[in-house]
Amino acid sequence: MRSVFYILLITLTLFSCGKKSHFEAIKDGNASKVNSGDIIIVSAGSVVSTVAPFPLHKIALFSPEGEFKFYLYEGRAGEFLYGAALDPVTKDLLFSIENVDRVDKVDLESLIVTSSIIDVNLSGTTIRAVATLNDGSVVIAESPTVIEKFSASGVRATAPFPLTVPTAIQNIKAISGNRFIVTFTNTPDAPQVYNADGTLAGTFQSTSPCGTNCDPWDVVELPDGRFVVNSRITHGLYLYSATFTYIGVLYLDTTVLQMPTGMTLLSNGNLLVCNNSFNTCEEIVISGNSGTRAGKFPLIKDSATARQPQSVLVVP
Amino acid sequence: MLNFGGSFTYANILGQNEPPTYKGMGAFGEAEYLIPFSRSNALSFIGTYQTNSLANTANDELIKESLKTSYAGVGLKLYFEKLFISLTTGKLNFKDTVRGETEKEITTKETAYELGVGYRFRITNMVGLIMSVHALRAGMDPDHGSGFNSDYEYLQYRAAIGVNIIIPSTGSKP
Repeated sequence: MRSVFYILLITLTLFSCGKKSHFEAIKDGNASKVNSGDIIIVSAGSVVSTVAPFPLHKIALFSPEGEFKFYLYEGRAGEFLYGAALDPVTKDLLFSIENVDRVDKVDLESLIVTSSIIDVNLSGTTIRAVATLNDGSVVIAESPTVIEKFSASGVRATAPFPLTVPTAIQNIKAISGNRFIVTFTNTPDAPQVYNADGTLAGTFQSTSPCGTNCDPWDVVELPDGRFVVNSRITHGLYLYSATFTYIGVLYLDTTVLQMPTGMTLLSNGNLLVCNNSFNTCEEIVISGNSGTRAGKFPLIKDSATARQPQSVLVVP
Repeated sequence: MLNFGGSFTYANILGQNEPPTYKGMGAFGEAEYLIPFSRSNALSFIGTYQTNSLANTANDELIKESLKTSYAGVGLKLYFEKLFISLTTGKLNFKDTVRGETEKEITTKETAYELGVGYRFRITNMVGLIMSVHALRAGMDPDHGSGFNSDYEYLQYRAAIGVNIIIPSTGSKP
């Protein structure tokens, strides 16, 4: 009898030494709502979803572990999605819609979609990137070379807006200091930095392996002030200082990333980089001036739910 | 005979990659009708009821998962002098409550089986102390409950200690 008790006691102890976890059915509760750390991917492009490269024109929500949860928005017939940004004040997700020429928003708590900015001045060819500044104001590339600005209450800004930039815009990204960065598709395509009032704050040094024709899609500001810029020409990730001076190659592996597009910082501090060639998003661990791939597989690899990932964001 | 007492209870739910574990306390009560079939051996028909209040061992400040179970069953108990083994079947009520980062309730009611082994220590002619260990199993079917979409298996282990009271009647001497 005593030995039976000892056997049970040892068995119970062994059981309790295993990895602790919660009942997985609990996750069902999180699967139907937006949580901090979730990843938002805008699958978009300039053609309809039935034409190569078959962009989905949908906004998908993924868990921090890369599991698809649900769609935040699915483009209606004729709607081309492009850019997206998170409003730091209201926490809404703003996204641009070409052909209907407006910016809509998703309330991430109620998941209700409403129109955010409808303005006759957004009628330029191919509305594209959108970014939100610290005060909730929104800058929108309403055509290839023109940037409009609207206040948090939707009032259109005047001089020096609308801004006319030197060449076709690829993306706009808000950064610290109430500034925003514009990346370009044509040479010279060194990203430019603007203050919220539209004045030019600086230009990224173009010295990098791809010279002056890099086709950078996105820029991410790291917590220490450095910047990561990607290149669709050379497929790499490049490191710049807080004063936009080139440091070196952060990560380059064309078997992992080709034609990188949207980038963002994950809640764990690592970099998430999506790419159009493989329709995947890779997690890159940054240590010093070097980046390494986290694990052996993409964090997100599901072309049925994320195809032609243009923009990627993380829910704060 | 009547038995009642408390238990230390341990449980886990199988069916996911990392089975969660739960620990807590419980209480039980039993009624037995004893039929001796030899000088020192006996068979009894038992009805049993137990409740358990458990907490997940992975609880932290972000998420607290608690589990309450109750089981009502009938079965048989075989006495070999003071040693006994029991087998009962009945209904298990399962209620898993989550509070914190996620708020959810998962409930089900399933058929369960419990196997027990124990020992009765005689204190007086009418009162004894019983110590026993039990293992209970119930399948969890999403069609029987709410809050979960897959099949799981619930396993529960109890180390019980209690008081045994003999209610005199003809032929009921242990």
